[in-house]
Amino acid sequence: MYLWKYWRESRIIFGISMLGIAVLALLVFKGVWYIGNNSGRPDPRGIAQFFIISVYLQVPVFAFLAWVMGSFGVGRDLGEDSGSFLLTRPQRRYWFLWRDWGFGFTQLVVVIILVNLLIGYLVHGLSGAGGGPFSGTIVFGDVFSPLPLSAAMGLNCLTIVLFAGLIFGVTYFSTIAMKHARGIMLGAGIILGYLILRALVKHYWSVDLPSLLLQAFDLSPLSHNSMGLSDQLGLAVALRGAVVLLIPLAAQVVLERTEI
Amino acid sequence: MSELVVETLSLVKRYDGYRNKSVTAVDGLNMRVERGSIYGFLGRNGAGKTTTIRMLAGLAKATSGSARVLGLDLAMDTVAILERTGFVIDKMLLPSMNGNDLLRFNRGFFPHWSDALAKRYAEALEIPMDRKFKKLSHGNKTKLCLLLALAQNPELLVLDEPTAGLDPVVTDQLLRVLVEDFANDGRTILMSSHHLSEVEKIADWVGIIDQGKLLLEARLDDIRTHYRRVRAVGERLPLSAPESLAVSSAEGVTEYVVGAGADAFASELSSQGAIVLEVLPLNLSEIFLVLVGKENHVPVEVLA
Repeated sequence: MYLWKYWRESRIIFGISMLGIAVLALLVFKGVWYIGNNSGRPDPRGIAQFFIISVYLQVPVFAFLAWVMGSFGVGRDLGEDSGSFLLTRPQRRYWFLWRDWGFGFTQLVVVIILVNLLIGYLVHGLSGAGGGPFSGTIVFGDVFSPLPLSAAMGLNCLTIVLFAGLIFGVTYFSTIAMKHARGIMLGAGIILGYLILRALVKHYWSVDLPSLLLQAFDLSPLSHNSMGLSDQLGLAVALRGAVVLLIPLAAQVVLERTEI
Repeated sequence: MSELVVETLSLVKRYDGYRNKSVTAVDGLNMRVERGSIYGFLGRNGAGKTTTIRMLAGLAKATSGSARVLGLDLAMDTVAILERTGFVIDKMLLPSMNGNDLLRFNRGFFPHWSDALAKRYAEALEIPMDRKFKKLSHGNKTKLCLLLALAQNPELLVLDEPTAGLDPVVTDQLLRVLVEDFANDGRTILMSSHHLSEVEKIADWVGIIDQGKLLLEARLDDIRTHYRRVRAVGERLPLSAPESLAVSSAEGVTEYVVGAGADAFASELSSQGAIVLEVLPLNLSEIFLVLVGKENHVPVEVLA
């Protein structure tokens, strides 16, 4: 029943997301149909660039969605003075927290997967669905080592999932720390603060702090990977995954110590 | 010896304040609530009642000391305690849910939850279950909070000022449900309040707390039977007495409030040459005033 409570709070946002996906699907299907009937020979580099641009187009959308979703759950309840009711239900505090986080994150992942399936479908249409040398693949690096479209889609999904997970987690943590849904402003402040810090460090010390977004592909001519994948991609994914999981853990520590 | 459902041992709650100044909300509390009793936990605003209840509910951690609820260690077995105890603390549920949603939400948490009880109390207390919680009146909000606590079929009900801000009709409805339905089953109620007349009406035990310290814990019947005010005039009267709660002197009259043996004490005073003016029984309000002793803050009902 607890998940039902979270669902009640977040279902409007999830519903709007689904509506957006339906509209996107219509556009994609129409676009693929148009491409199928009118396009000439596809340019594999252009498709790769479109694919990467599609990640950046998703960033503001999912940043906002994750930010809003992060405002639901125990932190909001504390702000509405429902904490003494909720936390006298016979469960440990982490039980509430991980359900909030898990269910909210799952909803985000579902939306991200659906959007990226549509993008994949569009790219599949662009790259020559009916056959051709690059059908079902994407050329990021060497033309002789194209990346299967499914793998590229998976990496895109992962990139956005890790990014959205970070924003969602930071916002959720902030609502717990502030004991109020207003914590989403703190969450936004933390993210913006990091971006400013990163820019300053880069400007004054020429040091690159990690980007908020996983850089899965390396299209530079100096890339060591023939398929155009970034160096140490596995390590980068593992570290970002760990950070995404560490944030709710930190929220748990804060919630366990919070006096209601 | 009766089984204790709540027992605190030297319970302390201290809040750190500005510049290392700490505030002690609960100061070495030793409280004992017997099974089957209705325990009125009395004190002025800020006396430490709510902090104590929050600690018992696991919402706040004790700075030191320990507590057992239903025989379970509060620090170790919080979940088991919450399964068997109904807490009504802030009278705030989930504001966007209506009564029926709240029943649906709540029932999954409690192994002894009873839909039949919920339905019965909803009808008896006339709660509009299809209205969102945030749109209910204060009285209906309180009633719904109580309904949820009762429907979980708890062994112990802990209520923080349940009748605060309620009109007399709703107050009467709630007290009837508590006494006639809940406590008659041999279950325990621990209820904080500063409405002494209500507590005097339903409680069989009282604990009076002030500045975080428990000043008195006794059966209400014992208070009625044994607690006396003894007023005497004379020279060199003792400034203390056995079992005395308070001694004061004004305009040549010395007044003793004793918890037991008032007649014997009066005789002793007479034998010492004093003139005993009167030996009077005390009600709960008078005891409360004697103990808390703040003349400027006399409860309205006492003045009335």
